[in-house]
Amino acid sequence: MARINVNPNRMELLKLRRRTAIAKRGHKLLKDKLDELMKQFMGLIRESGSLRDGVEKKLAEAYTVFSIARSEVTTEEVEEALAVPSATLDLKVKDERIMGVKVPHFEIEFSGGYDCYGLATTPMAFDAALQHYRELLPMLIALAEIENNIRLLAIEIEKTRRRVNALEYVLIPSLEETVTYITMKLDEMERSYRTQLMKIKSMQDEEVRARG
Amino acid sequence: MSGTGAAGINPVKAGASPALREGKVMKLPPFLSIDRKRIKPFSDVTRYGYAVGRIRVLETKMLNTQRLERLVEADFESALNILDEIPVGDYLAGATLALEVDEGLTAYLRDVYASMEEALPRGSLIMEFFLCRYDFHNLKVLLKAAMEEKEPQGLLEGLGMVGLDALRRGVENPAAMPSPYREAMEEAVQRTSPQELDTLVEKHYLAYRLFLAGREDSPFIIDFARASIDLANLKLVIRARLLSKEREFLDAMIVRGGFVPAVNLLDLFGDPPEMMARKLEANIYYSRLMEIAESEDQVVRLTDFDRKGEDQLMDMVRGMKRISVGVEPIFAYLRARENEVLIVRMILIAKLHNIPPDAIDRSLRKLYID
Repeated sequence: MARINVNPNRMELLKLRRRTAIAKRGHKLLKDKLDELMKQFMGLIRESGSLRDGVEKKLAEAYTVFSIARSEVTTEEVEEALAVPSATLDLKVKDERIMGVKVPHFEIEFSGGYDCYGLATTPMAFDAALQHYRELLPMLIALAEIENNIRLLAIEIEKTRRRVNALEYVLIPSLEETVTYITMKLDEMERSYRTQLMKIKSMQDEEVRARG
Repeated sequence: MSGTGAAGINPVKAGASPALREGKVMKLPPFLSIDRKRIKPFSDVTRYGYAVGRIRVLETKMLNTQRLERLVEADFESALNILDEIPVGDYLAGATLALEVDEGLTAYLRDVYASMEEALPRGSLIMEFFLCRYDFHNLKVLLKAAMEEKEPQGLLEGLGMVGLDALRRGVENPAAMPSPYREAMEEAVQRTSPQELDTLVEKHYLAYRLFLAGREDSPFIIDFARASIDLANLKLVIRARLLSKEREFLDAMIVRGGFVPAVNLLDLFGDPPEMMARKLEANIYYSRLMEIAESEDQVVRLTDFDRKGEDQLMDMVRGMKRISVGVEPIFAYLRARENEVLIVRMILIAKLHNIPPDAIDRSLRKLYID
C-alpha cells in the first residue's frame, strides 16, 4: 500500500492519527448507510417485482380486450372514436428522500371520463378496454416511480460502496501504514539520538578516566 | 277463373282447408301465416332479377363454417392461404400488419359495393342504406377536427354516397351541406363534448337508415332498421348506466323509431339490472341481451352483448335470403359481405396480436352461410 508522502515528525503523526480515527468513523457510518441502502433497495426490488407482475398481467388483459374491440372496427373508426380525448390527467411531482437520496414521487389525478366516443354504434368492448387502460395508467406510473427509485438507489449504493471500499482498502491502510512508518521513524530517531547520547557519554567517561 | 269453388266457398276468404273452415283449426301454423301485405307486386320485385341472379352465384364464394373453423385454428400465414380460396383473399395478399389488413378489406368492400351498384336497377336506395354509414363517419371526423381546430384524422375515402369533398364544403359552409348531414351537423355543432357530438351523429345515422328503409318500401328492411335502432338504444341504456350518465343525456341521445318505445327505454334508466331484464320480458330477445349485459365478467358481457345483438340482426338477414327475388336478397347479400369482412378482420387482427383461438371463437359473429 502506498505510503503518504509526509515528513516523519510528531506533528504529522498526531495529524495522521486524527485522520485515521476520522476515516474509521466515516467508514463505519458509510458501512451502516450502505447496509440500510441495501435493505431499502431489496425492499423496492421485491415491491417492483410484484407490481411488475401485476402490470404485465393487466397490460396483457387490456391489450387483448383492446385488440378484440379494435378488430370490430376499422383503423379509421378507432382514430375517429379516440380523436378528441375528454379525460385529463394531472401529474404532480414531489421530491422525497430515501436515506438522503432525492427521489421523485408522482401523484396523479384524473378528471373527466375516458369515454369520448359515441355510445350507440361503437363496440361495447371499447368501454372495457379503456377502463383497463385507465386502471393500468396509475399502476404504470407507480412502477416507473419505483423502478426510477431503484435506479437512483443503485447509483447511490455504488457510490457509497466505492467510498467504503476506498476508505477500507486504500485510505485507512495507507494512513495506518504512514502512522506506522512515522512511529517507526520516530522510534528510530529516538534510538539513534539515544545511541548518540550514550556514545557521547561513553566518550566523556573515557576522557575523564584518561585524565584521572 | 272465379275465386269461388264448386261448393260456393271462397277459399281465400273462408280459409285454406275444410278443417279451418269448420273452425277446428284455431290458428294457422307459423309457416302458413304469411302477411300478404308484406309481399310486393311481382312487377316491382322483378326489377331486381338481374342483381339477385348475380348474387346467387357470388353467395357460393362466401366464407362458410368449414373455412371459418380452419381460419380460427390457423396461424396468420395459414389464415391468409385459406382466405385465398375466396375472393377476399386477393385483397389481403402479402399483408403483414393490421393496417394492411384494414386497407385490403376496405378495398374489398369498396369493390363489393361498386359491383352491386352496377347490377342494381335505377332508383334503388339500397346502396345508400349501406354507404351512408361512411358519410356519417366522415362527418364525425370533420366535425371533431373543426372542434379541435386540427387536421382531420381517420377519414374513409372512396366510400360513401355524398363524397368527402361535399362534406368538407358543407362543414365550411353549412348551406352547402346535403341533407340529412346538414341536420346532423346543425344539432351536433352545438355540443362541446366529443361524445355527445358522436352520439348525435350516430342518432341521425340510424334514423336516416330507417327513413331509407321506408323509401325502399320493404317491410323486412324496415324491421331490420328498427331492430338496429333498438340494439343501439339498448347499448346506450347499458353504457349510460355503466358510465354514470345523466338521464337527460339518455333522453337526448335515444333514437326514436325502434320496436321498443323510447319511453320504455327511459323507464329502464336507474333500475337495477334484474328489473331492467324484467321490464323487457315482453321482448324475450332484448330481455336475454340485458341478462348478458349483467354477467359477472365485464369483458365477456360487453363483447357478448355486441355479438348476440349482431347475431339477432343476422338471423333477420338470413330470413331475407329465402325471398326468391326482390330487394331483400340484395340487402341480405350486402349485409353478409359486411359481416364477412368483420369476421375476417377480427380473425386476422387477433392472429396478429396472438390472441388464443378460443377467445377469437367466442367473439365471432354468426355467418350468413352455414
